Amino acid sequence: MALPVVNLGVDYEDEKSKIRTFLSSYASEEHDVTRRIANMEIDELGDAPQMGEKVVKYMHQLQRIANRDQQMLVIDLEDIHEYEGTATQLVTRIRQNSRRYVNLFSEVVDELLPQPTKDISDQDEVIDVILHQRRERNENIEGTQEGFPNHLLRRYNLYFKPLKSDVVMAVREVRGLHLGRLITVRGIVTRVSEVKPLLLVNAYTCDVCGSETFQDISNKTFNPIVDCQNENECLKNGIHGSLHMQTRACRFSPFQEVKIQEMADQVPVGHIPRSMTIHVNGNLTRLMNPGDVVDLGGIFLPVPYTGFQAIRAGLLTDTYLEAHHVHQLKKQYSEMEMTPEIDRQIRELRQDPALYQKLSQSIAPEIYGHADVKKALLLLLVGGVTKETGDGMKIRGDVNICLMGDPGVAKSQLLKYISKIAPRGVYTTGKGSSGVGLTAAVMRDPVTDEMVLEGGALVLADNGICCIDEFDKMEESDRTAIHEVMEQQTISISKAGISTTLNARTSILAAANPLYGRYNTKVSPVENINLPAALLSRFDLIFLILDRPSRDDDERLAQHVTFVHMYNRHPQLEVEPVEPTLMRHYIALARMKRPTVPPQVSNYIVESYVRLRKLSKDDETTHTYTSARTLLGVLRLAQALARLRFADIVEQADVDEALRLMECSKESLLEDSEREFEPDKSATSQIFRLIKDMVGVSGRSARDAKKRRKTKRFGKGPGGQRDMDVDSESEEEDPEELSLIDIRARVIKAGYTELQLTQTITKYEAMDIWMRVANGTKLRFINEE
Amino acid sequence: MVSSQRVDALNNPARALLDLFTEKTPLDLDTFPTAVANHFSEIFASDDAFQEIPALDIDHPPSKYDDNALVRFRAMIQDTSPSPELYLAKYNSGQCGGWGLSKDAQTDDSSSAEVDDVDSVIEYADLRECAVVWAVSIPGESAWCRDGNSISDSTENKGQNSASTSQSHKFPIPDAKHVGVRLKIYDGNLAQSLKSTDTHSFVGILSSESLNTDRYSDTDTDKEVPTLHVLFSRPLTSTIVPRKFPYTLPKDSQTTSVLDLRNELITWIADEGLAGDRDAAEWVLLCVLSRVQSRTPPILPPSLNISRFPPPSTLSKDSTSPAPEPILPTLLSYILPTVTSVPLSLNTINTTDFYPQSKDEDLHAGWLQLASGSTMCLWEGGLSEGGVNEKGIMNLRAIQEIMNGQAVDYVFPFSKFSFPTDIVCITISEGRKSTFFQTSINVPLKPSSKEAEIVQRLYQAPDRLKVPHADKLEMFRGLIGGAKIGKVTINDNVAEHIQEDFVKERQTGGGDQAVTSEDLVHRIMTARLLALSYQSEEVTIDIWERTKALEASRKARF
Repeated sequence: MALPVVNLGVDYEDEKSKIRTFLSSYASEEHDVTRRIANMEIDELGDAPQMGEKVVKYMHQLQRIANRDQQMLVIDLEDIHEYEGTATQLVTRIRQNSRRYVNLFSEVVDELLPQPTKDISDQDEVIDVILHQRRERNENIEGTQEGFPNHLLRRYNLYFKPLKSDVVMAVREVRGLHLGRLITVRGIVTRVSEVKPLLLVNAYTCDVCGSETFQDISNKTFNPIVDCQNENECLKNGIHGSLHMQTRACRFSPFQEVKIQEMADQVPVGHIPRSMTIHVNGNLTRLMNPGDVVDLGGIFLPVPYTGFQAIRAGLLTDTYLEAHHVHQLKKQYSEMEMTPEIDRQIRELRQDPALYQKLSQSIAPEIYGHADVKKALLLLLVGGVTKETGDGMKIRGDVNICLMGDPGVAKSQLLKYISKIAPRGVYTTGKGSSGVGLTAAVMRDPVTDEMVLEGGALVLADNGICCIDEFDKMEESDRTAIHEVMEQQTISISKAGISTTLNARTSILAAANPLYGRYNTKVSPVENINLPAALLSRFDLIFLILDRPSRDDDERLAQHVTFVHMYNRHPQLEVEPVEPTLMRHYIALARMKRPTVPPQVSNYIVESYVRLRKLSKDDETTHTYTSARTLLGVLRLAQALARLRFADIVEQADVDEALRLMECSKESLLEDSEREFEPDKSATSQIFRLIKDMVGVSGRSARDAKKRRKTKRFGKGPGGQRDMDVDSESEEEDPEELSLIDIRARVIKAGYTELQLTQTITKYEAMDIWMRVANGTKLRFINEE
Repeated sequence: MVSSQRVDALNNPARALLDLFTEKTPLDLDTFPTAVANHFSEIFASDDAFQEIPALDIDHPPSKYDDNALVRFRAMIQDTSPSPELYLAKYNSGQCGGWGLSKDAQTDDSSSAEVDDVDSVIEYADLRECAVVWAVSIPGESAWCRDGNSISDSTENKGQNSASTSQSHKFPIPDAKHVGVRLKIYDGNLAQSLKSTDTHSFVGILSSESLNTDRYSDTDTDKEVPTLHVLFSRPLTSTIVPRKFPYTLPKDSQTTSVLDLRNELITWIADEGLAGDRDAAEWVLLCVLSRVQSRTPPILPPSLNISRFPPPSTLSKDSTSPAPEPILPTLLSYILPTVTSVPLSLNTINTTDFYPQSKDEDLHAGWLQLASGSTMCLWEGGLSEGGVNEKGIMNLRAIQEIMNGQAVDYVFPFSKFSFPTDIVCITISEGRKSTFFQTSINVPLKPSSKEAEIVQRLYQAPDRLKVPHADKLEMFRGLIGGAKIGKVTINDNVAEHIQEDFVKERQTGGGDQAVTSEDLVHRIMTARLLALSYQSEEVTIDIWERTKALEASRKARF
């Protein structure tokens, strides 16, 4: 049937004997449990071999077929491969000329089929009765009439299962040269026909002599026989037109036509996806439904046009795939495939000390600035750990973030980027989602006229991230439902007699505009933010991004815009962004970790929380307040940070960074009025504080550390943003020596450059705060006491 | 030699193909399609020779041609999703297969009494693939682009779609006269490169074959569709007629400079289409010049809305005849190669398809499946009160997507695929701004003609439109076509100037009037278009200042 093989002069008798030995002697190795269990089932029926022995796999199946317990006979090419020890022999020939080998195998199976070992007369069909009668009559007359077509008696469907190593193709990659071959194609099922009977053998009886005639049907169309073929009577006597079709004695096979279509990742950009016709026979029918993503192993075959079509079209043919093996892929096909290349890159990335910085900068790299917002978004992608306590209470691990600000500050771009990079990201607008809306809706199915529950964006983003733009313009019904989603992570619905709870374990990234479109500096932030406090408190972080004219930013922006228009491309970025695919893999891996909080860190969190509570009580000017939710928020962020390091334990530094982000988010709200009071934020002094902190961390005794924390409680932030406190603290401490290697690692991890570190060291050295010792490998603080 | 070949090919392309086959025997079946393409494109290499091939268009539909005639078809690819077919590249008797050459035809021609053995064994090794593609005449193609046709019968005869009613769901504009043809492409390289909405001139052998509909559905009628067996093809530019930039005036013209020509053009658009509003006319001109410059970063054509456009109802309130449509799209079709006018009535929005979608493995076209370089005029005047259904919302969203991102989503079962487009959108609305869309430019119309005449002039009948002399029109087209493909650069010093300008404005402007980065992007875009319209290869400081003046006068209209 296939293109080149026909001419090879393969000796099919020889092949058949090979197949015979394979089928009768192939023993599956009893090395995996699943197969052992599968065999146990078989063993119950037949002459059970002892466990641990090799089982003659196919002979057992043949016995089951003879006993009519099994219909499907799947020849696994892996088995032949294993049996022959090479893939070049029989396996290759099967793969290149599959249709022929189906017949060869069937013929051999017919020969090998054993007698049934149990009474099967209760399953007799019409054909068996005819057979029985014929046999009896034959004994009487001793006629030399030709037997029945083998096809008629076959009680099994023979399929080939492709090799595991078979390359999965896209529809458009299947070309003419694949004709006749066993190939594997991946696609999404778009249409499934109803199952119809396909005539395999047509049976006729003769009016005159009463003998049956059988006709093998291999094509779509056939010419019915009209003349009786009985050599002894009708043929001899020249009787014509005496045959009648006997539907009950015909052999049919269930048949289904399925259409598959290429999936998005298989179609080159700008092309229209192709589809392919699949013919499904026998036991493989009803295995696929529209919407399923499947790998199909099958034989690619042509259908020659017939009749008038053929004359007009000049012998053109259509093609289809005869399915032999259906492998359903999981719905989340988007589960990524790890290649060695990506594995290597991830390992490389893990070594990078500036990982946190690098990853966060790679979020929407074309958007300038917003470093802290991007860091927060990175943590949102990674997420905290969701816990479920024994009594069924669930503690949310997903981080929720709200971005608020003037139009045109790239909020939407950030959202879109996140929704694209997240494994299950859904982007929607508060108002735009029609019908189903954000949550869920009960709708009447137009086809079945039944009430069905349809999930909205939030349900679709289960285990992912739901990015909601125009959060402030949300429908009122959605807004109430979203309260539940954001804390309980479920959606309860009771409408039209349906009462249910759907899972919506999703992070929410929202973007909202201020009340009157633009941020009004004359009123307080609370009045600008047009959202109820109950909703706001559910966000772990809220960032206010304002568009204020500033010479530097404006210039940079103008430069960027003009550059783009001068050269039709983006200017070179300062940093090399991490590829989105790599980022996705990294985040997926990081999400596998479940870091825990050790006691001393939890103490630290508790103290920080108490301090924050006190602060918010004292401070009248703040517009947000600290609640238990804040505490959980800090924990989540800290866990996300630990996950990012692939660590199993949350460290104090993680908590510090989490607190810092919290602080940033708050400051962004206060930015207007309180900018002047902010501490020195230049890189050098921040690095200095960082190094100063290291003295504390590596401080030997717990007493020291405790003391340090006490002083910090009055400080503004975890980074020790008040110089004076920290400085006075340092006076109490002993002169310190720190390894420069540690310092460098720490500083770069915190997102500063080598250059800034060197500047800091030289600057403070000049101020006699510290000095480099041990050939410049260590840093010693000079005690001025 | 060549000319005799040409005559042969024109008279009997099948014969010419067979001769080539015999000439090349023994041959490699895999490279034969490429050889065919080379051979025939060589024969018709010159423009004159190319023009000699009879054209297939709405005035010359497939029914007017005999079977196996050689035709050329200027077409837009509509659907590339059909599976490729296999054909027997060589018959057992050693004759050429493919290109619709049936054995019978060959035996008849060669008059050698060959036994007809259709049922003989198929030599599977000689099977080759051919791609099957659906192509339609370019939607909205202006009459003047179709050569050999006088301009007089340019008006689109809607409803009179006698030409080709088969498969009309595959033409973007519903109920419009068009030609839809199935292409069979034997050259693998060409087939691979074809994408939806690509435009090409295909030359091939026309025949008619049955549309191979679903074999297992019980359709009694086996439809016949015109099929073109492609010999070779030529890609078309977005301007359809090749243009040069910068445009130079023809020597014998009376117009003294490009600037004057530009002025005349604007005056004509303003007087005839926009009741004398020169500023609005200039904006229209700028918009139709724009194209997608780059996708990443996005430098996309701006969308224009002409607001405060008086409704036609004051003219004929009680007449049952359909409301007259603005003359502007018709006017534009005289100077632009492809213009589509979409009257946005509730009926259109709710019932017609705007984005292409696949139903039963067949890609149905939508309004928005247009060739790149097309101009789309959306007229909101036909709107009445009523509901917009779900389909309508999706349709409106698709249009907005084009305005924002120049991409249209084709809907397939279980998935959507985004396809890049390059369509200029001009909306005409009655209100202060467009009812449905967010446009980047909004120009309120300020007619300068007399109150009573305004509506009459805006909605004048197409046959009353004053069309300039053919030479003048050709110059207008040259000016626009040249600008459409032109490249404009911004010099460093101009860039510097623009940057400083922006920073200065940011500092001075405050409150709600603050200029944003979007304003800057928009302004640079306008400056580039303005430079194109002046046929200038770079944005000068002078053009920058004019841009600002144009912007200022537009803003002053609110």
